[in-house]
Amino acid sequence: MRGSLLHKEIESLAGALALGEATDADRRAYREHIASCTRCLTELGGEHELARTTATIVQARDGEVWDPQPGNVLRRRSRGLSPVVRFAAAFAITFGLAASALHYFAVPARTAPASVVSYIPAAETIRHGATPAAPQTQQRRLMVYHNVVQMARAPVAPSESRSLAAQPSSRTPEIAAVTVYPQTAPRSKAPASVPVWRDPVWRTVARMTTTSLSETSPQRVSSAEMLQLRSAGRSLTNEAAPLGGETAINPQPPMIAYAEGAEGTTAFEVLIDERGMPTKCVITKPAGYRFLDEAVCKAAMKARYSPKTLDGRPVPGLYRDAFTFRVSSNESDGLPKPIH
Amino acid sequence: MEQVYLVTGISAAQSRVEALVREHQTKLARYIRRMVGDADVALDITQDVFFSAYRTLQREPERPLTAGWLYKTATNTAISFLRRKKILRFMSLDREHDVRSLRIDERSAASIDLQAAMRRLPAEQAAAIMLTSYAGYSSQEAAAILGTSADAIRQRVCRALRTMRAVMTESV
Repeated sequence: MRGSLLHKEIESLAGALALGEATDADRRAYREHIASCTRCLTELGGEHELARTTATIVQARDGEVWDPQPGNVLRRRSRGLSPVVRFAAAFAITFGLAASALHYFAVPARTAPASVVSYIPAAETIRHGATPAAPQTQQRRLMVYHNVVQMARAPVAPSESRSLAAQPSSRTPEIAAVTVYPQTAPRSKAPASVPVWRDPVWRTVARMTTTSLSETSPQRVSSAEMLQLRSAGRSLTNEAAPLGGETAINPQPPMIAYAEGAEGTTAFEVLIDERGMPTKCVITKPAGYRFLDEAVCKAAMKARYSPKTLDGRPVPGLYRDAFTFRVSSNESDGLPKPIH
Repeated sequence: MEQVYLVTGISAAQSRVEALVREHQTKLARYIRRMVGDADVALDITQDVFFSAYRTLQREPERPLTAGWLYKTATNTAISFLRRKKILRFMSLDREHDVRSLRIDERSAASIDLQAAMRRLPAEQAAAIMLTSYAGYSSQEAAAILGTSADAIRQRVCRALRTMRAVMTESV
């Protein structure tokens, strides 16, 4: 009885905390309750956890671009009956030509640059596909970009992580020996350092670098949309891509990967629906260790994507990428060795 | 004589509604869109809210209409819409509704997560969380708008956040 009463109170306390209306006494009471009640801790989380969820809502709100113009809202039903018509007409006069001019001229003007932007990668793609003027040796060469995850283990040293984080930007991209599926859009990404976790004895570092190399095999056309694109010729497409760049997919191999010294390349495809949500992850080339494949797919399904667009409309698409895992055994400096 | 009075009444009401529209329209429309999850429906409801503001001012020209009144009307309309939609979904008359309710054109992950969570919330909790976190009212103000106590609002906010947290952290 007492417990349930307290539980009701704690909900209102947590609400106040999340809304930033709590006093110091409220915070203390909440902390004390959380410390003794595991159920509340798992269900509600700590005090900052609640504020973080609220912050997501604020973030979603501030990112909104949808802005219905007065003309749009109030003219929608102008085809209706008497009072509605009179009111809408009054508003049309009030806002005058300005609103209608905004509606009719500003909207096409806004969409036009968007199609221009989306045209550039499409032109690139088509040029790659058939350029008779290109030299014979260069004709079928495609730039292949892929990610390499380098895992290293090193003894814990607090100052070291900072120097490691500063390191990657100065390094040049490394060339890997393993080829993967080509990407249509050329990407340039600074290599990112991805510290994974700390262990009391030694720490592990999975560092991701984007490497590139040329390949002679022709581009694989697997999906019907691709064929459609080629035949249509004038269709403008943007391929699906992860939001926040390719480093948004951040596979975290389990501890056993380090212990086993698992190395390998995992190539995968993620189906992206028109909302940008991943629906399915398919391993097209397994690394040879199931936990590496699973780590990659798990990370890929966690990321959000910008959907593929066809003529400016979002359509379901496919995102292809690959990760190469390397284990660095050099424990003295903790820095990953260059590949081959 | 009567006609003259009517005309001046309309123009006064009209100018006040116009000011309200200018100030609150975009925010209100976005708020309603989050509540109902559909831009078209949101525009319709926004329009209804401003029409009813206009009618109210025509009837009682002295009545002070604030943003709170607009949000109250909007919330009530949105809640009754959500209830109607729920019945439709329950009777599975309209499968389209489910698909359409996800169509919010903002691309950010936060926006997608928020909308996914909103679909799972009961209407009262949705209204509480949207009025406070999204529209920026304090829990007292939200309580006045929804006609409950501030404690009840905080409780609803907490329950809504719990659901949202579960939605955001679950791996797809």
